[in-house]
Formats: sequence, C-alpha cells, structure tokens
Amino acid sequence: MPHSVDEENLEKLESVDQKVRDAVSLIRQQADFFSHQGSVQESWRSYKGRRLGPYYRLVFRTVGQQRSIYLGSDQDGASLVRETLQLVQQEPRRQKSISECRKAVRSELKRTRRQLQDQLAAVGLRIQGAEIRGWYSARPQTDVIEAMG
Amino acid sequence: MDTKTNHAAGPAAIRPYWMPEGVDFDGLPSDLRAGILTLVNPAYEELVLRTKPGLEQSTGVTIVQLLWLEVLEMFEIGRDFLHTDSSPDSRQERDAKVSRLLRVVAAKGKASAFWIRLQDFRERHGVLPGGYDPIQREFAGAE
Repeated sequence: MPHSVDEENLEKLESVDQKVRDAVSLIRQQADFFSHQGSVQESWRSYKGRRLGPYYRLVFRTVGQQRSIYLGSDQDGASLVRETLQLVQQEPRRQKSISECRKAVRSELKRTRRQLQDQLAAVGLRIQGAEIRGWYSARPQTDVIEAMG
Repeated sequence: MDTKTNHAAGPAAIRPYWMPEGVDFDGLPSDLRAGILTLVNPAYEELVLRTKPGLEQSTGVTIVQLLWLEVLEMFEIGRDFLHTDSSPDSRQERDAKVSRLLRVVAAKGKASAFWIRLQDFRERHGVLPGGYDPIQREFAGAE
C-alpha cells in the first residue's frame, strides 16, 4: 500500500528523532570523549536553484578522522543535542576558566610582590622570612634627630 | 575600564575593572563571579582606590590579590565537598587544597598585619615610611 505524503513525512521525522535520540545517548555514554570535543554544525544544500536547510550534524573527530552523525533539519532536535553537549563540556571548561584565573592571580601577585620589595628597599625596609624588618631606621628624619638628642 | 557583561552562564555580572585581561571572567561559574564581586570589589575600593600610589597601595593590591585567591580556593573546596566521593585519592586532593587555602590565608594575614603596621606608623610619625627619603638616607648611611 503506498504511503501518503503525511505518512512518509511522519516516518522520516521518526527516523530523524531516532538519530537525535541516538546522538544524545552516545554523548551521555561517551561523556569523557565528548567533554573535550564535538559540536553541532549546520549545512545547506541547493536543489534546483533553491537553497535548502539548515541541516544539522553532530561533528567530532576520532582516531584522527572527522566523523559526523546526521541529525536532520529539526531545530529542536539539534538544540537538544547541542544542550547535551554543553552539559558534558561545561565541567572541563569551568575547571579551565578557574585554573586560568588562579594562574593569572598568582602571576599578578608575583609582580606585585616584586614591586613591593622594591618599594620597601627604597624606604629602608626589607622582607626577612615572612616579616618586614627595618622599622626603626625607617622613622622620619625629625624623629631621628629627636632620638639623637 | 572594562565593563563586559556575561551572557555565557548564570545572571549577568559586570566584569571588575581591576581584573587582568587574561582572565575569562564570563567563563567563571556565576556563584564564583558573585563571590568575587561581593568580597573582592569592596576590598579593592578600600585598600587600593582610597590609597596613594606607593607602599600602602602595593600592600593593598597584595591583600586584594590574596583575597581573590582565597575566594577561588574556597570555591573549589566547597564544590569538592558536594561533588566528589570519599575515596582516598579524592580525600588526598581535598586535603592538598585545604593546605593551599591555609597558606593563602596565612599570607593574607601577614600582608594585613603589615598594612595595619603602616597605618600605625603613620599615626605615630605623621608620614608613611619613605616620607623623609633623602635626609633619612644620609642618616642611615652615617649609622
């Protein structure tokens, strides 16, 4: 029995939904792998002078080769796959941003410490261990004269 | 002054103008951003913006940077307690982070003590060390 147009479309949509479900399932199962790579990309086709699309694909690299899973043209399905990817990629990104932040603070701190050491030296103070020494000789000139009697 | 706003994760927050360019402020978790803005920003205003360039300001910058580091370490530790298991490896890692936090807190304590000593010095002598520079150097050289 021939399919009506609607039935054919429904069948195709179900097939695409299945692809989206498979892609989501694959990302969740291989979370470690997808935590560092993978993206949903869109492409366009032309047919008889008409531009069709966008069509979505889950793109990733494995064993040095570019691989892709076709997701169809359903924007909601593509969004679902994108969100799933974002979830598994969020944690390493969060760790990376915190790690970069810590690195930047430590670097700034080193720079400030060098500056502070120079400024301490300029007024006769010095860092000795974890303490600042030389307070007595850093007294203002008038105090020194008074102390000398 | 950089006033980028966040669109990546969580509610929008204005990037602090004192934050170095290399830091992806918008990429930080929203609760960490809130912590930085709530705790570090006021300290920056008080210890850096309200002081004159020189020893006092550099000490203020040091305290602010250590406070910033402390917030980062505390955030990581707090998160670990919620999300990691109780295996020996995880525990060891947590202990190392706690030790790192304590070192940062101790360094901040020393920098703060120096800041207070500077204020005390100014109260006693009317100037900060260095306010007498050329003549004092002569005296120091004569001793």
